[in-house]
Amino acid sequence: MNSTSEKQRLKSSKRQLATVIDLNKCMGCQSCTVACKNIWTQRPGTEHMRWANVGTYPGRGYPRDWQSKGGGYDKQGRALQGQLINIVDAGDNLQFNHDEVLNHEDGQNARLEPRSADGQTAKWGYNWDEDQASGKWPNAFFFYLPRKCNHCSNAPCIDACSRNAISKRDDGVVLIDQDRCTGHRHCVEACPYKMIYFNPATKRSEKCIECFPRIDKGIAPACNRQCVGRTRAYGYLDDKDSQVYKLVRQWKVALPLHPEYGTEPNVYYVPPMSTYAYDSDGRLTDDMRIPLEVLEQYFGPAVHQALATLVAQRQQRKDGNPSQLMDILISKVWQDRFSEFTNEPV
Amino acid sequence: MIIKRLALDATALADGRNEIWSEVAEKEIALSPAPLALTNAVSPYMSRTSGHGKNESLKVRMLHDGNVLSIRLAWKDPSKDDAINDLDQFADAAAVMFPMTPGASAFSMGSPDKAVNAWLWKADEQAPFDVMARGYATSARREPQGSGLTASGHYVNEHWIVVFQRTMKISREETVSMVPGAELAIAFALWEGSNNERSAQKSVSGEFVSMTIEH
Ligand code: HEM
Ligand code: SF4
Ligand code: SF4
Repeated sequence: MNSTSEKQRLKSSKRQLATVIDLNKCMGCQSCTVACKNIWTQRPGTEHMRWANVGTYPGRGYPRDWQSKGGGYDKQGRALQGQLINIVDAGDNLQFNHDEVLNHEDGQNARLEPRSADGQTAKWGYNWDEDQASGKWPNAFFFYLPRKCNHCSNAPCIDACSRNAISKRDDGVVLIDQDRCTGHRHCVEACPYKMIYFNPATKRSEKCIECFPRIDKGIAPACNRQCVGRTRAYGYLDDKDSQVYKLVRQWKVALPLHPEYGTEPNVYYVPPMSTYAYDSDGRLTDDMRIPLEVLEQYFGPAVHQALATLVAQRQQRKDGNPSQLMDILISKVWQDRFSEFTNEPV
Repeated sequence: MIIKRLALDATALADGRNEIWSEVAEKEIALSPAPLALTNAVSPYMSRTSGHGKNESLKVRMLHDGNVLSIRLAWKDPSKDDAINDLDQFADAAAVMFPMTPGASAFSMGSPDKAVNAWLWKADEQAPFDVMARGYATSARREPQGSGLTASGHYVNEHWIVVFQRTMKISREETVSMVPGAELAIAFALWEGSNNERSAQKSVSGEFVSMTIEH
């Protein structure tokens, strides 16, 4: 067996499914998080996992500090070593002391508070820094960033698994074979997005499965379908009729997160246009509230052109002229967003 | 080295702390970090790590009574890692490995046409695994019942004492055979949980060393 070509085989796919998320519309409601949790991560050992998650950025993010934990590839395509995360980083499984407060004699003196997995008062948890802004008044700013596994086209998790337990399906979905996984967690270290979670009950690693039992029946993944803000589009990147193709390839306004990680991720983001900034006299300027340097750190230099296109098309529409791009981003009919994945999840 | 035939009670031997083990000669085996460069194709990530191979030696005692073969491993380990309580913790482990076909290499953990058989004890598991491998990335953990493999581990005075036992004559296919009078090649490995050791990140004894099972 030539193992290098074996990795190439495991990492390649015939087509590639992709999700586009419009950050101008995400309101941080966590419907995607809850939709995913309800279906997939209520089993023993998965309590801490949020395969779909939303955080306030810039911030420490979820899993905590994931952007400084390494992994991915350098510019020459060499593997970059990464770190593991612990259960608190992974959002913890906070429990309230309801029994103590409600049923015990001295309950009057007890304080209702979340407790960490180790029984201590919680010091960190999922979405802990919600709505914590960056910048200085009056130009404070933040944006919500929903995430899930990127089903990368050059997936380091596949490279890292010493048991070749991770592979891509023909549609580009990356899955961990639970029968082959023995919980070595090389994949957790290698994924620069930290979207793989160890299950201490089964002693195996788990991640977003792109709701494959649903997509196999033409139903959009739960996180995409349940999105109240209608921020999401879904489909094949090579399908010229799909919104995914139009936003990523044609209009080039949907960008991968941290392209410099070298993994070719397949969740694409329409960057936030943000509101206008004030000058020192409190007057509105033409500058965007979220500094471009900040957005560039997340979406790379392509964010400049993407934002310019978005602003120009929005203005065109404001001026009473049609804009195909704005029509796509608005899409009044939800079916338009999801290509062939519009079946009902009965 | 000879694996002596001694008429000692196999049930008593199952507990490595039992005094009965003082009747069996002990051999100290030097261990070294597994050469991770060999794993570049199965994990370019793991192959670039360093600092593994914390356990540097292992004390081994082996014997058989014509029916059961017993192997006792003992090594110093100041940290007892027998549970995975957090997502970044690993358990201590030990393995002995045998070639299924003459010429199989311990360093490659076998090859497609030359399988190896390993017995794997993990401090966080109730029972050992009977592992088959044909090169890296191929190992399969099998339930031990099929080959009658048992293992026990005890943590005493900052030492792990692990005993593997297996009936010599068994019918399971793809399991190393052990016949009195024949040769048995063997290699050892230890994983230090507190040092995040797993898969190839371990200490190994080197290439298979041949022993004679006393008639
Ligand atoms: C010389 C004695 C050795 C023994 C007794 C041994 C034993 C084992 C065992 C029992 C496993 C399975 C672990 C599990 O299921 O969690 C394993 C996995 C592994 N070993 Fe070894 N090994 C030895 C040498 C080596 C060497 C020298 C290398 C390479 C430098 C290596 C590379 C690997 C890799 C990559 C895995 C993970 C892939 C898999 O589980 O198939 N081994 N080893
Ligand atoms: S985001 Fe992480 S887990 Fe998902 S495919 Fe990419 S490297 Fe693998
Ligand atoms: S695609 Fe499905 S499994 Fe993946 S995050 Fe969304 S809801 Fe969860």
